[in-house]
Amino acid sequence: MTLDQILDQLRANPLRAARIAAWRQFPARPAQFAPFPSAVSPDLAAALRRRGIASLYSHQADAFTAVHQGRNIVVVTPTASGKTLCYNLPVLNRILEEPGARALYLFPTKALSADQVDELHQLVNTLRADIKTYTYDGDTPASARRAIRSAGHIVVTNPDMLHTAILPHHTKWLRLFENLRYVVIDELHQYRGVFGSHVANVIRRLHRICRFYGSAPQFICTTATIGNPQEHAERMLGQPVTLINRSGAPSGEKVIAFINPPVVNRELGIRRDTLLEVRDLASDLIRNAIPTIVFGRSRLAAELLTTYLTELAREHGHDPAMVRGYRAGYLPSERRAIERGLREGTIRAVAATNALELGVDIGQLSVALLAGYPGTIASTWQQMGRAGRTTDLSAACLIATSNSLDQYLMNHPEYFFDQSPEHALINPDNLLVLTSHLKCAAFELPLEHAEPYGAAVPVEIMRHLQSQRIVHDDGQRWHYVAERFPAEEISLRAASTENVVIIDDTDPTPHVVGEVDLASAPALVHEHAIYMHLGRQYHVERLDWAQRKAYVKRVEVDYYTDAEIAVGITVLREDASARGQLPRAHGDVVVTYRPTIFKKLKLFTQENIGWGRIHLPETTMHTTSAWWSIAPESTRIGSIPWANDRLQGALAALSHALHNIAPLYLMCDPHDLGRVYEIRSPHTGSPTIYLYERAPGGVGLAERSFRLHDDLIASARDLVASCACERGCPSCVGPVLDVGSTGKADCLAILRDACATALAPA
Amino acid sequence: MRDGAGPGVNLDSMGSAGYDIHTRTWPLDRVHGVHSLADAVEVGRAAGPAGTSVAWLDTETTGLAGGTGTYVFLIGVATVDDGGINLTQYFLRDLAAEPEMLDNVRTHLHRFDALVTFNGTRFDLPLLQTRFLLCRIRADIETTKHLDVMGLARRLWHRRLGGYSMALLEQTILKVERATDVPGWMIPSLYVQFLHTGDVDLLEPVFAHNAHDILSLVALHGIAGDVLAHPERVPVTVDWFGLGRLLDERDRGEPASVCYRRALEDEGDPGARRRAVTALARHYRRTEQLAPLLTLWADEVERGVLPRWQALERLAMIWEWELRDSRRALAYADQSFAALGGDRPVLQQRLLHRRQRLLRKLTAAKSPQPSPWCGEPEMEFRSDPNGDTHREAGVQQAKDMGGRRYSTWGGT
Repeated sequence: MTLDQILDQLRANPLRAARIAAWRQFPARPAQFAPFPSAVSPDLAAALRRRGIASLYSHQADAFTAVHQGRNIVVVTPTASGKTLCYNLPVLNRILEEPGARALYLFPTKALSADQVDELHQLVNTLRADIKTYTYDGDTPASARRAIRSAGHIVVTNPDMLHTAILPHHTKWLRLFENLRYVVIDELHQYRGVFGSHVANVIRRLHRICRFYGSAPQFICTTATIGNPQEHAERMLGQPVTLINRSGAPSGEKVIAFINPPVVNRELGIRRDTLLEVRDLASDLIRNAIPTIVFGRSRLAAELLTTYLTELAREHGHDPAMVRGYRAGYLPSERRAIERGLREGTIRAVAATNALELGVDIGQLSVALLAGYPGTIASTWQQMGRAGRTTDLSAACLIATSNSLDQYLMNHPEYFFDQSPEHALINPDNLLVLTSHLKCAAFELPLEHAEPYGAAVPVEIMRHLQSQRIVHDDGQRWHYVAERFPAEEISLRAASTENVVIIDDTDPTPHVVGEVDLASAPALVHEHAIYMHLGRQYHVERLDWAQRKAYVKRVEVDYYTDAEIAVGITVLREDASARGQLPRAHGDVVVTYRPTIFKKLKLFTQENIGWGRIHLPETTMHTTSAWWSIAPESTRIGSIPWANDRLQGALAALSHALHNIAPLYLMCDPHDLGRVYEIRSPHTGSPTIYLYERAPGGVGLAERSFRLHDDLIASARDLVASCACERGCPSCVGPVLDVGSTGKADCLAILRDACATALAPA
Repeated sequence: MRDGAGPGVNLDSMGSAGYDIHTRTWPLDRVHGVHSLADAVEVGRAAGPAGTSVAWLDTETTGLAGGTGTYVFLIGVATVDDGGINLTQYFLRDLAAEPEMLDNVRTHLHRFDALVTFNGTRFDLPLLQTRFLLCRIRADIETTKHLDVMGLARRLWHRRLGGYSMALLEQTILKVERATDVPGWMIPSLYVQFLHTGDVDLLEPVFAHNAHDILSLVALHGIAGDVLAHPERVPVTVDWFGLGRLLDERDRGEPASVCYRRALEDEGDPGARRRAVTALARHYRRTEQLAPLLTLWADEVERGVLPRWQALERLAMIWEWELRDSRRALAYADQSFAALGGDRPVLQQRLLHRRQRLLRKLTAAKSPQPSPWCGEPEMEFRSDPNGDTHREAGVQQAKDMGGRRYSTWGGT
């Protein structure tokens, strides 16, 4: 069967058609070509022709022309639209004209840079020019570094290396900075939130260093579809940027469908398991070897999907090796092999986490199945964009979970199709971020009193650093005088780069099977966990927390494990507060994670077949939070306060509802926020619920929730009031098991009271 | 008087600019460590650097991490003339004055064509280069002729002393005491405190520290030169192997070999012993002294500090390639294999390889006499009950043969 036939069948079968919540067809779009602009060197044009590129897509020509006119650009690129040529063409052209010219390429991950460097090398080889391209990252041997510094025309690195290794030692990179003509920033949309705010400051520092060496490089950025590409690029660079967003790349016809699994328990509002629904949808695709990618929202989901799809391949008489998992935590060599298999066609189905959202080159796939809403419109489009052929039909399906956001989309598909994707938000002037990078900036070059950094002259922060004896004021400039190397104290990424290595010692010679980041380790590789890797199961025998090593043995069991983490919160400082029926505040908090127990769940049925305790130290994180406390009069009958059970149910319901609704207003991922409630908060003295930011330090989401209070409360009230469930479901206040029989009604009453009361500012 | 480093101090201050210049002179007959300063300067020449006029240099900085945010706030430059050793200390009182001060330092250094430092290769010189660049001063200090005495000290003393820091070398080699000294790690914070308070007295110990470092640098430079010039009468304790290597690098193979032999006299550490034996063997091979070469490895077989298979393998190599006697080479290869033990597959493979090549050579030669183990060498080795006696006899035989062969070779 062809994909066309499979899709027809899906709609013809009444049982399955009933699950289709939305079905959109997008017509094929022909390619828009443009001749090589006259400024492209004949040698370069000839080399491209030798590689089979006879003319450019219109957006590639537009990009070249804009760069040739001296402008910064940001190119919005759908998958497989030839984005690398948008930067390689102007860069190589300049180096051919001016062999002393240098370019700096920044990629968010190593995997990406490996791919792009490969492509660049091939083009340079066809060109037969002496253009040296080097990758400079943590793996670059010390012996090669000197040559890269002095002789590399194109230096490929990442923002982290620029931050810790290149800028603080800029005198060693004299050649690069004196002759720097272009800075390429690939996957600009990756740099958002706290990480993006850090990177924007690294770019500010880069501007300073370039000014010192008398260079003023142009910036060439690429981004996946986001709501504000130009604004985001301009905030990132602090300079005007020209937007290039009319793609000339062709695309075949495409179907996008929303699939809502049937309700299996109306009272509890629970729908059929998403992963099983995905499995059924994938069956015909696997049988017909149609290239398919399946996205799970977590590692666990990706691994379960790998297991299910492998099983399908076996059932349909295919080699099970045609199915592979792909996620962070696989070793680089494994990932390379999977990418190659996809390109070459030996692998026909991949189950991935969002590791593949990045522009890793895996060729073109026919179908993308998304097991659950990825949380943002932008990343949904990116994952769906993984399916897309230049000529043939392709399809992308979003299969909903019982989660409220998913259900909202199923009921309001226009919300997805009509709304622009989320904006990439950064705040480079976030005080903490700014202060950290001002230390680095002063370390790199003394800061003039009148020198603007970003938009403003940061006099107050510098005076503060002066009082801490980190900088010294000589009357005109601030000099860095502390002993510590400042860049090493600041990590650009919120997540720690530390890993726990997973060691399989089933055999006499133990070997490393994978790694998990430190934050996920307590949940994934606690003792007695079943760790799944490449669809294989391992039992964790021992977790050596101090050494960051987990020792596992290969097993075959019919269950997997799911850990529970208890979260506690302590308020450090209140930044602002407001009185009212629902008194609220926001400020700095410490969040404590303590792994407690794990459940053993049966594969395919999710039946709970046992549990155990997890013995691990707790971890803490400083961040920001918004919190709401509930006035005593709302939680009593007459003069008798509610019993703790009832109060607890109401708090669980309220926090669930707010957590459900907040991402829509904050334009963030639901995972960016965590929720906690306390029956009697030591800080407020009342029952309190917290929405806290999961990025250390926070990016202002907590403050926004505080400011958007009225809208949030009203929407939460509407959400709960209009939900068809009886006593709570995942779409509104959470399942009845969590909130008790009175939770939903109590929550609704609290929300109605809060909306009815005029809110007085403190 | 700001000191610790003795009389003859002379202070200038040019207080008007943002930096100060302090000068002082030490008389040439002053003894610091083993030699008088005059002797130290004289005998130091043997260690280098190539150049007619030398300046000794040492800096104090605001940090040890390096990078662009580390300032050099004190630069000590010492030079010698008939009147003594003259130290000039450039002190950066005001960070804004860095370009002027460095310009002055550049002019000063320009008068000399070579530098001597302690750890200058990795620390002082790259840091100064960075400072020059940041002040937009064209000075290529990293390509100046340069001797880093720390490199010599590491070779000469690391193994004997367990370290080679200036403080340790002063204690054990120079045997000089610092009356009151400021520990190196405190210096950056003292300078920051000075910047904050303007109290220059805080830095008096730092000036003395820098002066003392330079004095010791001159003295160590002298000892290093003395040791290299006269390895036969070394006045201080040294690591003989390290000295041998230094002499080897200076194309003085003969005295180097003497040092290697001394190094071997009481060396019980297998790693160190292997390095010394290997270096000495290289010398014998280069100078075609094959008898001592065979004796050297045969002694190692008996001494038993190095793995016996290793020494035996070397003997096999010598017999195969230097003396061209495949039969004897084969005998040693077999003994080496027997001594190796069964759990070293890579080495076993290497030896088997050699054995097969030797067998081929033997077959190719006139009368092929198949070894009793031909075909299944591995099995036979394991079951050879007389392995040990075999080996002892082999060594003895090699010694005899070596002697005879050597006389023949010597004659041609």
